[in-house]
Amino acid sequence: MANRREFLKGIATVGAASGLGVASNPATSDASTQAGQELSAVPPSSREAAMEGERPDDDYSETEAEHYFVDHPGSDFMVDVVKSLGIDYLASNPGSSFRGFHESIVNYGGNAKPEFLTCLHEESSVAMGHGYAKIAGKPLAVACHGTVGLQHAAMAIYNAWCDRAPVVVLAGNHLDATERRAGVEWAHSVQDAAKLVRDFTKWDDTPMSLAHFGESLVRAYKIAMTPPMGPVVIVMDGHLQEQEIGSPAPVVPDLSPTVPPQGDSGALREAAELLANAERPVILADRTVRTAEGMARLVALAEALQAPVVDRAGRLNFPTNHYLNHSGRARGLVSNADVILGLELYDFWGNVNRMSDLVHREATRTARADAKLISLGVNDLFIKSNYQSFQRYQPVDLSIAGDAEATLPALTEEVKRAMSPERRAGTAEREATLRRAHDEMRERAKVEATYAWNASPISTARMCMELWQQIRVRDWSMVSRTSQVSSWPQRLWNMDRHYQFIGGSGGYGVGYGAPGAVGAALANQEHGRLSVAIQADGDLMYAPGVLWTAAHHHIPLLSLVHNNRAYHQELMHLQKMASRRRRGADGRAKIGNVFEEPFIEFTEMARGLGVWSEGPIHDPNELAPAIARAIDVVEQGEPALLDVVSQPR
Amino acid sequence: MGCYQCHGYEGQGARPTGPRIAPEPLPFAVFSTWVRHPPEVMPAYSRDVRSEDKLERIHEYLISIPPPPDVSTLPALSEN
Ligand code: HEC
Repeated sequence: MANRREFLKGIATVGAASGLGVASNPATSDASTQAGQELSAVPPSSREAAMEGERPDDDYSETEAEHYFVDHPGSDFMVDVVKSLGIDYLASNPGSSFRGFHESIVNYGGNAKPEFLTCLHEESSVAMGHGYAKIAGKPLAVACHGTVGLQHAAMAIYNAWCDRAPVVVLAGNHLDATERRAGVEWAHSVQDAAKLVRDFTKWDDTPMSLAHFGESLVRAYKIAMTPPMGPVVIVMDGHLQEQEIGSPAPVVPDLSPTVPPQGDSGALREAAELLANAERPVILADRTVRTAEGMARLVALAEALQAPVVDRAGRLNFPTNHYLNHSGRARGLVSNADVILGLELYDFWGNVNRMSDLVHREATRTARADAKLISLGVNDLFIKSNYQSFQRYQPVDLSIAGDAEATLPALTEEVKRAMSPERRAGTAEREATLRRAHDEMRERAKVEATYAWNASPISTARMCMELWQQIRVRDWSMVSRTSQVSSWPQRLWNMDRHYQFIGGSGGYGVGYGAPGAVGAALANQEHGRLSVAIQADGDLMYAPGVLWTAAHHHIPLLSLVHNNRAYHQELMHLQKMASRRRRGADGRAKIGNVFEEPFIEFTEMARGLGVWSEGPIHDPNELAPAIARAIDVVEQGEPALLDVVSQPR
Repeated sequence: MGCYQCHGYEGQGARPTGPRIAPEPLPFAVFSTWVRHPPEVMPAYSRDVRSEDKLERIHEYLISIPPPPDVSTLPALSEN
């Protein structure tokens, strides 16, 4: 490539030949470079050229054209690779380190598949991708600066890592120091961009050529989508983006998706023996189900065994209204079980032990000492050292590495084979008991929901049930977590499709909720589903700009702000500390934890960001009509937000 | 007093932060013993930060809470 000095020489020659007045003094141009001016060279003044009026606009000498134009920029090829992977969206906050790629997306790629989603924060871009992937079953791409953008994105990448969600992050950078413009471009360059997030991504690469980029992006996609899924980062060098593709043009490699790993057949037989011969088997499922088929498979296993299922709510693994769903009875079931099967249980230890939060922390096993523990999942297949999201080590009797959803049919077959006629008769008896216990559990929850029904602030049960009353007749999808509202949806709604609940952030990094919901709603849109979220107030304030993104891109989503006017979890922690230290009777636990003086006006904020909104709603009787009006808006294809002043949990 | 944080403003309880404690709270003697010496997750409130007098007032408030409506009268619950 011609360097800058040659370029100036070229321009000088052209200038001389055409009589254009061009600044060709290297001293002047060096000074301008040091000043960090926007243009890398001083072109002939267009005004002067126009005044000359002698040459048609498109008459350029070869040298001139070479310095002005790039006909086939490298980023066009990058877009070809992205398109080949069937990636429908690029969630991004624009940045100069990927300006070439951005331009290729909108002009060369036609801004379709992928379509550029204008994000107001990189954390929102990644969290949108995180929520989107759990509904769409595939990743979208995120583009960001390899420096400041990736720093903003880091927490959201950590959440996606913990939650096993595939997100493809494309990070712009300028690796060649001699090609960087002074000033910003140096501040936005880094030796090893992906290092920042390497502890919590599955794979990354920094390609040095376009062919390398093609292979690495396709490989990254494949790795992200192989269970255990997770985020990946590919660095897009600015020089590669902006220079000519060259010839021969590199080839876009084919994607060869990996069939998810399945558990060993001998180990499954052993597991089936234990389960089929158990008196009180229990199935605990966490991030297990990804598809409708996956849910049907878990139902088939539970029915073959007549075993109660406790859904740990990493995803919607089991229908809430199935008689074998006993999620509300976890404690008693685990403490009585003789065989416990954990499916993709990221915290097996925490499910069979308890650690007290007292001055002296004591661990006690909650499962029977003689209970047989079986683990089936992919967690052991991929683990990294630094961040401790992998939880405490739990010895088990049988640890089977394999994707649970993919392995379930084989396990169920083995269970059926291992079941003797006597055992089958035994499970029939169990069925009657479990049906009764399930019904009682649901009835109890209904009665519990009546307490504080007419209270203001509005109870979380009332909020959830008024919402349920209106969505139940529709095809709906709950795109937020539910643990901050006493898990009422799991306890009382009929959730029986895998997309009706997608779990939470994974890493408990606050700020996932709002963008995660918008991303999931985007994926639901093409199915015509009504997306609803119970949006935590504190979470929304991390990056509320995602509401504007939802308005701008017409992403239909109904959000009910669970406005308890606090970082409530922290408030409880502080109360605990104060009680432990025998002080704070005057209520100082609120300091630093509550949003008062002034209250946050979510309705005004949402409206200012282009989102239809009503509230604050204090009277529980006003809730149902407001939800109806909001659903009208959402069914027109737009987001809507209700500010519900609510009880703490 | 902080009780609302885990038990709700009307003592209705929340999962998993704290069980329902109203209406019809435990008899005061049991209630008081509990608050001073909770067995497990709940923080202990000693007398110097929650006097017996204050506990009595909390207890009275919990007693004053009206019983909830019946499930059958609430379509959002009964039609489920
Ligand atoms: C940090 C949360 C928290 C706070 C604050 C708290 N509690 Fe509790 N409370 C609990 C939990 C959890 C339980 C269930 C028992 C356990 O695990 O310790 C409980 C149980 C109780 C019970 C027994 C209920 C029953 O019938 O079994 C009473 C009574 C009670 N709390 C009263 C109070 C009062 C009064 C206050 C305020 C002075 C208070 N609690 C503050 C968490 C809390």
